[in-house]
Amino acid sequence: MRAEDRSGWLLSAPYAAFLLVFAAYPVCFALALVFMHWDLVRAPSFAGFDNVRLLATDTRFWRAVLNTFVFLGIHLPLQIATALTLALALNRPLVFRAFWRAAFFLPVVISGAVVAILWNALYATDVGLINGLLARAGVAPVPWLTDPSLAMPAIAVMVTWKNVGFYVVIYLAGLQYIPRSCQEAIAVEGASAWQRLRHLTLPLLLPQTILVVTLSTINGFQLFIEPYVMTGGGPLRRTFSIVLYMYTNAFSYQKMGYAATIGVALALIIGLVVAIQRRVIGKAEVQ
Amino acid sequence: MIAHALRSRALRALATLALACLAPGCGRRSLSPPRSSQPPPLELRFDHLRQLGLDASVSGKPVRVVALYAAAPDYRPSGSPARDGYEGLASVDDAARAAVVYLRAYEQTGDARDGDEAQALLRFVAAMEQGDGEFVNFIDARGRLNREAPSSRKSLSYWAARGLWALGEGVRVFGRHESDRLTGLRGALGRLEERMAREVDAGRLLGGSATATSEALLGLLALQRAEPKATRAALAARTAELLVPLSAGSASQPPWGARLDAPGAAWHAWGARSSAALANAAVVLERPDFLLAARQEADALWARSMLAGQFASEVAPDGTARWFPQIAYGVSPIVEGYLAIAEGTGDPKYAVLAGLAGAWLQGANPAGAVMYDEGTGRSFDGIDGPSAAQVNRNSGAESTIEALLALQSVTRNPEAARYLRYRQLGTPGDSLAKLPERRQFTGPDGGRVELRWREQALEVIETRADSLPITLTYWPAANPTETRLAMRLAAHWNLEHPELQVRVQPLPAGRSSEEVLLAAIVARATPDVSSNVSSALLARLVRAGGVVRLDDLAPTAARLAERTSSAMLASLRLPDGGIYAMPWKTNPEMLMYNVDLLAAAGIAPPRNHSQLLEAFRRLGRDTDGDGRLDRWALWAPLKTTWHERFHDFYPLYLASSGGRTLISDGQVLFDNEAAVSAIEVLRRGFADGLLPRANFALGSDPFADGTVAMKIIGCWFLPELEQLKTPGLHYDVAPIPRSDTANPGDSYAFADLRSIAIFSTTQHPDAAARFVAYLTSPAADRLLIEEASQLPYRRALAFDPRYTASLARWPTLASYAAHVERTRDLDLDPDVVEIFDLISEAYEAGGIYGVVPVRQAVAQAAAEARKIVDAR
Repeated sequence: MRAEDRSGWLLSAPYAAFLLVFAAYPVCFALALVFMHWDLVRAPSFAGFDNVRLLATDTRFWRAVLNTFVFLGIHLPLQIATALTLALALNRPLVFRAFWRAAFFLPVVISGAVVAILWNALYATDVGLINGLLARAGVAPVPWLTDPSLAMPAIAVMVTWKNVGFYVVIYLAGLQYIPRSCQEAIAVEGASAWQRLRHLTLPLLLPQTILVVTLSTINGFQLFIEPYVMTGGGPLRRTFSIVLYMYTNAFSYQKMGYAATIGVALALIIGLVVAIQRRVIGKAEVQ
Repeated sequence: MIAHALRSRALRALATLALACLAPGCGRRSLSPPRSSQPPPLELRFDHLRQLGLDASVSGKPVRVVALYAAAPDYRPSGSPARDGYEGLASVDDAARAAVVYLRAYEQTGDARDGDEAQALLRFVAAMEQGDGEFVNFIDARGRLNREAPSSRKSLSYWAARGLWALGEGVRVFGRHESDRLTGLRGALGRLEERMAREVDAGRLLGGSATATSEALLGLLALQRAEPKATRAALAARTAELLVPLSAGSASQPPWGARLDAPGAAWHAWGARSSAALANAAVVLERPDFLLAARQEADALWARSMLAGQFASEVAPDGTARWFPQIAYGVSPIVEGYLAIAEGTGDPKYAVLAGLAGAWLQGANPAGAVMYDEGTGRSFDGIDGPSAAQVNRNSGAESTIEALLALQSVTRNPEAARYLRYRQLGTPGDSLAKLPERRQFTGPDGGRVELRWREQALEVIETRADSLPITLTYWPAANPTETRLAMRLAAHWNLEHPELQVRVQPLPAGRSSEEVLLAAIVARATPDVSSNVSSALLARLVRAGGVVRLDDLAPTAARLAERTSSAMLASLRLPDGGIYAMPWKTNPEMLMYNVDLLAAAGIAPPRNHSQLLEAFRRLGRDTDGDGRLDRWALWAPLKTTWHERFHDFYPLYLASSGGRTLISDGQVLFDNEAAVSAIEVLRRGFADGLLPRANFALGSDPFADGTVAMKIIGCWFLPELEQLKTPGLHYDVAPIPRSDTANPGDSYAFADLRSIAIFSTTQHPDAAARFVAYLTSPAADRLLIEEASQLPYRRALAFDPRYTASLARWPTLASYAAHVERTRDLDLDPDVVEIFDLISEAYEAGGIYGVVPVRQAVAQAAAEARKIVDAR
């Protein structure tokens, strides 16, 4: 082996070791567990395709998949719209602009569990702040987290609030790169604010939008802490996400093999959805 | 091609890697529990005593008696021989004490055979009462009373005293739940009590004997425990006061505190129960002066016998000892006396001495003979000299009964039970006046106990076979109250056990203790002991070999026997019959209600579902006039997490199910009317808008501020409620309402039991068992009640005077305590959590939202539960 090769191996070894231990090993472990029954405390036994067959016919799993898509269906557009709106607002000359930017980013760095507990109190039917405000307007208390049709939208709003700061930063970075000359040129041409947004800003922010969509989708599929803390998956299992179902199987029922199967299925679903998204949005980018 | 080859190689590599991953990740074998170095707990058998039992008829009444004798080698029951003047076939003396044995056994096991035998023996005792509180002792084989023999004549003597002891114990054991078993006995008992009062008021000992008076006092104290009365307490106190001045000599002067029948009389070991009676009186009557009196004989005369390495049969006033015959009736009173003093003083030294004294029955005697045979339950009649050849191998009623009385007491005391198989070292002393300075005893595990005579008192010093100090790790629950409790208990233990230190480390943070303990098991990082093991986890722990069986270890087996009954343990046994966790504390779920709100609505606490529905209607109010209810009868949690059902479905189900739980022995049990009615009653409340379909804000409690009038909750909530409640809120608790068709006598509460487990990773199972026995001792239980408002899983808790003051520390706690024995917990099933989740779904769909008919929801949940069971 040449000295150059040796140095190369040596330099890459720490990261390779890290990758093997913390990425390759868990992935391979999970793959192996798909074919195992294991309750954590006893030695595992070979399960063949039992876990896969169970997954295919498990209505609770498919309910969780549907719930997660419902969540994404609300969360993704809301996330993009809110992040973009706030970024556009914060990109303009504004009093205390640095403060506002920091304020919108703050929820990102707060623990998810803390945020969930906080919003649980806000959503409380009897004494929650939101219903308190609605009551002043003469609106009857809304059972945000206990009405089967409202619980997931309520969670989606909360998750949007928590993460929006991060995506605002991405959009703000994109907005910095839109050349001032282009904005001035289109303004001279007599374009309205809406036309400037529609035909200049949005197309030029497409790479950021792709990134926001991809990251939001991946994060959205991993929805866990919010239903775990706020609803426990109810009402009527309407907030039972895929990850919450995986967690329940793993750590409440000690069905590690089945939980790993759900995990592998989740990875495949995320890969598939992101690939479709990229293809669809990629086409738009080319156009 | 190249791409294909690369792909194949990559797949092969991935497969290899995946398989390799399993080895470190999960390819471990299950744990194997560590071996104890101690012999198994002594087993008590009643076979021989049963064999001595005979049917008889006295005054036309069918009764049971115990034959006086059984001679080796065939041990046939027989009556009094010619040398005793043909007294008869059976006596009140033996039948009464045999009844006490059976009553104790029945109290612990609930075995109907023992209860029936005790009842029939008590019938005999009562039949021998002569209408004025005096008794005849013997009958012959035809049931005729022997009124002539001096040892049988109608009188208020030994046999009357023993009769009172047995009848008093009968009332204590049967009185609470089976008073019909006492039919026909109360009359004789009342007359006997009156007759005794006359004798005591005249300042006379019963039969002129300290022994008889002590045994009568034991009966009176048992009655007082069961049915406290000021007049009875006063009579017991006067009786005890007759015994106190009988002590003669001092710690240094013969006869060394011995309690004598009369001045100048010799002290006899047989029936020397005055110390036991006085120590009991000190506890029951709350008279510490009686305890001091009890210790006079124990600390001096008995201490000298322990140092001598054998028990004197008789001691003259000048201290001269007669050593033989040594009999079980001479040992048993000393064993029980030491234990009573241990209970009164809280000093474990006396329990150790009780164990060492009881070891006489297991070979710690001058003949080196095992006097109690575990195989047959026989106890030999005595030792006539210092060799095995001088053992009297007959096995009469008195020896058998007295041995069983002693062993019943010792095997229920963890500190004493450990020493039952110890042997004394060295030659027994032949004088009580000239004593060796020390006496050593050694156990089967090589452990040693040394008794030292220092400054006129006996010291007990224990050394283990290996002299290295042990440190145990103990994980209590992480909540502040239980952590504080654990710290206090461990600090006290560490002070008294320098050789066995305990390090307290609250359960590491996690969503639930089950998940933390499970993670610890996987990582082989479990502590020696943890006190927050739920039944939901236990079955898995056992299946993995993660915990040590406790009814196989002497200290924990003794604590189980002392604390619980067989009925209380029945549902906690794993399929192999073993108990793998010490049932520690319980929080029976009851219906807590706001007294003022119910009174204002004009209703009593609901007893059944119809009344509960009526309460829903009467207690719902709209206080702000907006047309919507803002005050409700009850808050049933809406979350579907499995353990939320502890506060709605499961207590309601157990109140109506007749003791059936969810799953047992692989059979799904909840597809029944009790489950349907438990959900249906709440469905009607939700459907009619009478129950809040809302989650209340964290940190507030709708019951504490009067928003809801009732709540299903355990007693752990009391300290929190006392802090949170609006001033002036009056509350009480009632049993959970049952379905309208359920039998009121078949109602059970949900126990919400937490247990203490010893993990298989421990290197010191015996030491851990001692610590667990300490954590569940009466003193620790009192602290649990007072500090945490939670209840020890203890037999007759609500009626035990040792806990009366502690229970009074928290409002309503005494009502909770009354339900401890009428509880059911989670099933010890590895899939109980998943099954609870299924029920939770059924409850939500059928009860809260009404999207599925309740019966159909229950049936679906049961069908899915069956699939889970069938799949394993």
